[in-house]
Amino acid sequence: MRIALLTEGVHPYAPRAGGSWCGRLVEGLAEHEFRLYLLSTGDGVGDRSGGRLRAVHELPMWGRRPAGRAPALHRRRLYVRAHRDLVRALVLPGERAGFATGLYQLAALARADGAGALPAFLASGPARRTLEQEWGAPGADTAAGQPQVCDVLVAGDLLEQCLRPLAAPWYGTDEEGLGAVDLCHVVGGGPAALPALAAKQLHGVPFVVTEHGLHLREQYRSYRSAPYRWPVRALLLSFFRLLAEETYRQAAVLTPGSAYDQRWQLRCGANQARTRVVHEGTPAVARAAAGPDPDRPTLVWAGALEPGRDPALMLHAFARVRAELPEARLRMYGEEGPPGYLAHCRAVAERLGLGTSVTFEGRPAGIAEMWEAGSVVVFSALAQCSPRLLADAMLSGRAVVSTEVGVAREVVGPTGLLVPPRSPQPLAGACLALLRDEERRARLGLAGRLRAQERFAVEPVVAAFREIYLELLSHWPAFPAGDGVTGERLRPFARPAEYWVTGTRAAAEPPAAGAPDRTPGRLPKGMPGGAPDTGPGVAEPGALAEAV
Amino acid sequence: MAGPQPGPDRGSYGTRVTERPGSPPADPVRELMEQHRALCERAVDVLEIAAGLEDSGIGPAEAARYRHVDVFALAEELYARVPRRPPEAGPPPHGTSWRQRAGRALRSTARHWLPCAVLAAVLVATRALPPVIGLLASAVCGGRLVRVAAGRWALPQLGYGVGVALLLVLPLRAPAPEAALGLAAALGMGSVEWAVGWLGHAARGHLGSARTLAEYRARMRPALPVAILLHLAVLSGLCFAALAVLTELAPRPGPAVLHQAALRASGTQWAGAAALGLLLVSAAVLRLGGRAGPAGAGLLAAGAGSVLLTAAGSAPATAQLFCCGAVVALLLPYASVVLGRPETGIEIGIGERAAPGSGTGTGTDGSAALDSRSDPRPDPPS
Repeated sequence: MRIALLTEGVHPYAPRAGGSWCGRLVEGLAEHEFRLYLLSTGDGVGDRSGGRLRAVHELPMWGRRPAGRAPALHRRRLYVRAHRDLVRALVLPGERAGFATGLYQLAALARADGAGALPAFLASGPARRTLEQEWGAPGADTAAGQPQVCDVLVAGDLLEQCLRPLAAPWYGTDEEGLGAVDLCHVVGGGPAALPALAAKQLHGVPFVVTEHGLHLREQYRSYRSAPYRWPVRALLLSFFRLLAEETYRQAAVLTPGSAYDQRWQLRCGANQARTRVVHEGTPAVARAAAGPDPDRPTLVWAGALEPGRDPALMLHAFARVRAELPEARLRMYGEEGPPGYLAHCRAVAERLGLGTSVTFEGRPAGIAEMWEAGSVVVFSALAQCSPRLLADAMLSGRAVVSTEVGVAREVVGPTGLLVPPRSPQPLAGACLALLRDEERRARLGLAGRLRAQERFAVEPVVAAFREIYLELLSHWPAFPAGDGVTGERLRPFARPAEYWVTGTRAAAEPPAAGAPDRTPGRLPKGMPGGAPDTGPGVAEPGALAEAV
Repeated sequence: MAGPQPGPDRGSYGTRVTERPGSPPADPVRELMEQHRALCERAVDVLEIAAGLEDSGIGPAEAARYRHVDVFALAEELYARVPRRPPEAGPPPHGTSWRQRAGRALRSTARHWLPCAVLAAVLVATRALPPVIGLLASAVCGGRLVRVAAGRWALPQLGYGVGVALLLVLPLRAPAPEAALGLAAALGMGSVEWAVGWLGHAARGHLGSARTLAEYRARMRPALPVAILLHLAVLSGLCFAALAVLTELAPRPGPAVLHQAALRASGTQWAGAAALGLLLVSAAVLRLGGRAGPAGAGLLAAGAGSVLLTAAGSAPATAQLFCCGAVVALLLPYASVVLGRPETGIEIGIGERAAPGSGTGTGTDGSAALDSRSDPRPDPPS
């Protein structure tokens, strides 16, 4: 199967650096052929050799506008109309339905006029005038914020950058294009989903969306402290929200990283039947459990020192622990977030009279040593969006105490103690209970380790995606792109699932002459008649069952 | 904002009552609403409130305490009950102060005038010696002028610098009244700098306060004529002063000094000086607005044309008037169009703010700063 991985950010596939999520997926699914379509930050062009990737296509997403000519006068009317639809959908609550229309029209126009035309149009006067007219219109969401000229300029600039993927030279059915792949896999959501949406509209290619930490939620969080005025924030967040809704509506399968993210996706219009939680696998499952407990009862706290992690709560709780258990120690690992916060934490510890029993350790030398330094691991955060750190702590085999926020309940489950956030007394009680009861501590630690090993192993992720890909394509109409030419009726289940497995390159070289393939232009490099070549790692039936 | 703020007085954990009072209040959400009022007033939609609530530690369990199924439903209630109150538009951004602009203008005057004065003095002193020495001095002083005017070693900036140097050096090599006018033009570079700085200041101010693009354009329309008129007034004063000094140094028999000074230069020479002043100011406006290419090309064309015409035997003043006038006829309308565009306003504002007082020039690349200003990912998730 030819799969396009669409993602945003730095090169996610570094063969020598241990590999990231995409890298592990590509390594695990050796029977498929992956191409990477990367929306890069534009500054650092990373390692272009993609390891097992068949091709790496990069589009500088942020920063300076790519050179290009604005569309010709007679076509500008079409651009203005599509842009007007889009902007009206962003600012007028009654016109939300026009978002998709405007987006796809802009995508089609950008594809017809070549790269550079759409960014040039969006930076031109007519586009600005449209934006200005629409978002000051009566009834517009943004009208309350009294948009000004500088807002029009900034918002126009931001929209131009966000819509840049529509003008990428990636569409088309040639070897390079997204029309030639069988499946798009969007990792991360947001603007990275734009090419997949356009490819689905233009070529009928289905796509899967994987999100670890919701892109939309991150936008809401980060725009809160952004230096933009209110109307700009409203317009851009509206864009991200509508884009997420359209993405969830069009995606064939959604695989959020946690049930917490899933709730957000369902809220944004995802269909529950097409949503499936696939936990983020981590290679740390292979790590050995931490050694014997330290001599003194020690609590370990980990995370960046910032208000959202609430280290002050930990300090207050520890003051109560120490009142009961004077030999207890607290080790706080993590780097300072906002400047001055470390001093604030030290001042709080000083005021509570904790003295030398609290140490601020900064960045740990190794993550395994960090867990090993304590008898109990404590998380006091106000929000837990990613299960990564929690899972890593559980893998160490130490008992975990966490505030019940975000993903904590589903990750820790019955193998740790959950306490309400912002209240030191229950947290102190949970810590004391574990510090005093060595047998319970060991039991919970082992249970937590087993639970994390089961849920966060890499192999179930790979197996889940192997299954998702095949399942998806098996009931997707065969050859949707070629169909427009031959006039053939689209039929689901036209091929067995194994048909799409590419097989090794050598085996694919002689295209079977008698293959019952009706559209030779889009011949998948497989073996329709023969037995499917199961790649390495397929013969593990247990792995499938484990993938929740 | 939600979450504990760093500050020495934060001691709420010590005194916090963790159990709620026995009978639940009639309106449990009111307290929450007061806590998160700023968030709710600034929120653009329900999801922003939901994200904010989750960041302050409110999950499904806590939402159930407020009799809601989940955080989203709680956020919906808050969104409906708290009226939107977007933060007030702040005061318009501060432009540069007149002190900064005046200081910059004086520095520019000094940096442009000193090489020209040195060159004029050398030319006068070595009048009897072979012309090679004069050429050498012109080259050295011209090189200094290129360095001063270009600021950066990029091609368009270099064209700009070479153009300015040619146009300023050429009159100095001509007979006395024109050399005096040339020295006045070099002094006038400070006035050019001041006019451009004032334009940037005005553009920034209007950008911060104008409501619509049309309003901005209407406000900026009279700015360029006013700046040019002021510059021409200053320049004519400088020319008159230079001619008066010349008359003092080399008096001629006739009426009073001032009257004689006015008559010292012919009409063509006055017109040539005015055309040069216009050209310099329009090119500087273009360069500040991010159009260094056309500005440099125009100056270079005018300078090279003047050199060629002078070499071909035309009077220096005529050549200057003809070449500068022709280029001004092209550059001035272009500059006025460019100045009316709001994106130029941003570039000018940023260029003006980033322009250091020292020799790196005012034409900093504005659009890069604009890009960094408007990055859609203000705080990329780690």
